[in-house]
Amino acid sequence: MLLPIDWLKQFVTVPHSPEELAEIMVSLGFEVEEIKDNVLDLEITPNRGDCLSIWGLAREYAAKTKQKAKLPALFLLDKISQNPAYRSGRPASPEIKLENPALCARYSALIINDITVKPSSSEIQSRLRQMGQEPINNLVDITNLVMFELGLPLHAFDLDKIQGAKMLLREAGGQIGPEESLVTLDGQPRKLAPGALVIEDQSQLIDLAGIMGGANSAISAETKNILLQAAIFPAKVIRQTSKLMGLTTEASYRYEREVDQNFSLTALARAAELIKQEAGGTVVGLIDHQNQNSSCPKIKLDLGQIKKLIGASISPALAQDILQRLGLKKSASRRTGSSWQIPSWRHDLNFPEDLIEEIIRLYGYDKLKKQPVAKTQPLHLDQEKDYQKILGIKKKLASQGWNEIQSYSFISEKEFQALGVPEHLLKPTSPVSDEYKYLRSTLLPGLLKILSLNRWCWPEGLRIFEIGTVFTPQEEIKLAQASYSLKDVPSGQAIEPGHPLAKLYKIKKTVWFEEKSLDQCRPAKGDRLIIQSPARIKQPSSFPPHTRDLAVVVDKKVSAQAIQKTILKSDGRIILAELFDEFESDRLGVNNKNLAFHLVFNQLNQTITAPEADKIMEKIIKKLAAEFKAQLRK
Amino acid sequence: MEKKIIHQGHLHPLTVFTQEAVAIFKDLGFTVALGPELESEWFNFDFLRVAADHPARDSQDTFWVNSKACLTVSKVLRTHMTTVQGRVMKKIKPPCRFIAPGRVFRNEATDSTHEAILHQLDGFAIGPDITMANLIGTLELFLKKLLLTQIKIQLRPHHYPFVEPGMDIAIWRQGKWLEVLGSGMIHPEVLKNMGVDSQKWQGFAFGMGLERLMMIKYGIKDIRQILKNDMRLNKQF
Repeated sequence: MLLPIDWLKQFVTVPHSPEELAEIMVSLGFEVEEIKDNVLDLEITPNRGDCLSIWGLAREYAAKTKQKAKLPALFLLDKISQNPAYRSGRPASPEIKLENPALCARYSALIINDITVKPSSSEIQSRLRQMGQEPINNLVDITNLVMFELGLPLHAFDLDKIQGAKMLLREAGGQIGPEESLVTLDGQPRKLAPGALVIEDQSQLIDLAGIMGGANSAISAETKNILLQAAIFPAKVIRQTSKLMGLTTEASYRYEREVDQNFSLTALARAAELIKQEAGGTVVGLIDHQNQNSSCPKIKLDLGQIKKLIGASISPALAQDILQRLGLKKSASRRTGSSWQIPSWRHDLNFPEDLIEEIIRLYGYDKLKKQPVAKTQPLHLDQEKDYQKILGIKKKLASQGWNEIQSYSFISEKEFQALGVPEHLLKPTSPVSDEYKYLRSTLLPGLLKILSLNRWCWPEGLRIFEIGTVFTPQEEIKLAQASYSLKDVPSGQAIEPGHPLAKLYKIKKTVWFEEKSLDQCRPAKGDRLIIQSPARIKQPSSFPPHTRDLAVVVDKKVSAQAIQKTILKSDGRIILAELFDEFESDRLGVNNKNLAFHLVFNQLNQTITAPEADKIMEKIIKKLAAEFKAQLRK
Repeated sequence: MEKKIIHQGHLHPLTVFTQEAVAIFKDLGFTVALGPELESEWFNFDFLRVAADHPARDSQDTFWVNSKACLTVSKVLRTHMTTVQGRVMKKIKPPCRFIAPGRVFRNEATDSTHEAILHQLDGFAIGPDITMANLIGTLELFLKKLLLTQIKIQLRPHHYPFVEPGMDIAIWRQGKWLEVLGSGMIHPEVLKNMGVDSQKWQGFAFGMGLERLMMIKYGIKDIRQILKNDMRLNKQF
């Protein structure tokens, strides 16, 4: 929801800078996506339909800053009687009927005669453009403006195009009976979803109620008389229709999130005032049928409940003041607390906890007490069995030289074909991408893909494993291992380079693969695994890496980790230094040992040339010699 | 004598990071629970008061799986780890503290900051007097221990159907606020769904995206790197 600050200032005093205003809005629960040209772009959560207008946000801001928001200039509607004055030849006020009172809690409208349709004033045009809305003509612009300003969608009909002076609000057919259609005012012919709310005159449909008007009754340059409608349509029906028809408008968006039934006449009065200024004309009639009373529930809040939930006391006087500033009215009071009447614009307050949130929201979350939970002995540890089993196996395998991977749960059509499984795989119903076509039934494709991706890795190859969920189509957790070496996977199957998956991933050597269910695995511990997570990682380049091996002889007491650390610090282009061999031998001397590392050099913007790599090696050897008296071993 | 020692491999960065996060909560007496990835509508939505016509149920964000041959009812690839609340509380009575790490699914296109497959850590604690003060204090302690640096935190009201009051926590990084945690006090209706008496018991719940926190902590620039398994990244862990 866009909030132009100068528009907000029409309702409340705003002494804050845009940044300060943004902070206040965030503290009230409206995230600020952007501040641009003195307009705040706010995220309004679905429960706060009452804040989809400048007025709604002004109301919030006023409550926070202890002001009273003031309404804009309104036309005085009480001067109009229910029986409009007619001159001969003028259309009468239409007869409004509802097929079912549940379809519209309140139907209100103004009849205005002798208006002149022309472009709006520049002030109105610029207001609309601030909201991302293109101006069309003064009448349409005013309905849009009032919707943005006060939150109630309005619709203007060309009164003379309503045939037979009859309007029937009903549901569109299609469930039983034939499907109906309507050309909406954007010129699009649309098939109407069954159950869509429509308005029908004597002979045709003229409105997709709550969403978009019909082209046949729309305001044109020739329009002289209008029916200005402010109606309360049920949120669920509008949402359902909007979804089925794939059509969302500013109006339908607001209806879906519920509007204020008690604000219809104010919205009409505001529009009438602007129409008087912009289009002239005379208001000759007011229609107002209330079919359902607005539900204004009462919620009981005991003072003790606040402290119990929040863990801190808030002064009862302050709590009460906050609720009153938000428009709640105390309806009964006891020593322990009060009963609060919820205002008609808040559809999201239903539980005492909702009121507690309102109180602390305006009090300020930053002022709340903080106290970590006291440590306790863990309970229900039997629930951890699976988790500990998986972790234990992972650690054991890693300590034995296996590298864990985690791959995608989906496979594409190509992978599915290459996999060649005869069975039926689970498919998501409407995936947004072809890559998500099937749910994997085996961990094989992921492992092969990753072996291929890392084919630059050292000559003895990579040993990888995954513990992950597959769908066969039952959901199961499986362990799979893959290596280029048969002795790593003695009971595995061979995936030859001719296998369609190996061809798909361009794997040129045989891969040995084994997969079994977690249930078939024995529990393991792997406590001796050393994990050293980095402080910051070095970014892998999109350019291929350069690998070198380095073997040094050092004193037995020097740790491999220390050597590794020094290597990594010698140059920013050294992304990995992997120990792959460590041994002592009489040939090296009784106090010495050999350490051999695979080194990987990596540069973000380019490949590393052989001469550059040579220079890096020299640097490393110099450093190791200086720090550890290490000697290069050929 | 030649003595050869096998050298170890690496756990996946997600495993390493998840362990760090889990350890902080285990220290406070939390127990780890897992749950299925293919979930029922009930545990993913209804149990948590996500209404039947709520936008979150659209196929835009959610992967639905209907398979007449294999499933009798349509299921959903869980969109959050909060599903575990309902699953665990089917068999457990309070007091209790649980954390649940796992894989979740979002039906959207991938790019440098969006993924279809994500990992989250959710948690909840229910007791006779667990308050919002405990929620804020616990999560702040968690972030300090996880990120190992001085952090600036912002607490913001936010709406989730399954908690009330609801709250987001943002941290200040590189000139802007980044939301990292969603949380709140468990809604009385959710407690009711758990079969828990909300007059006797109350508690908090929270959830976080692990990729997002990893990217902040380790400086990973593209979310897709996490499931790419380029050994140049994986082997740094």
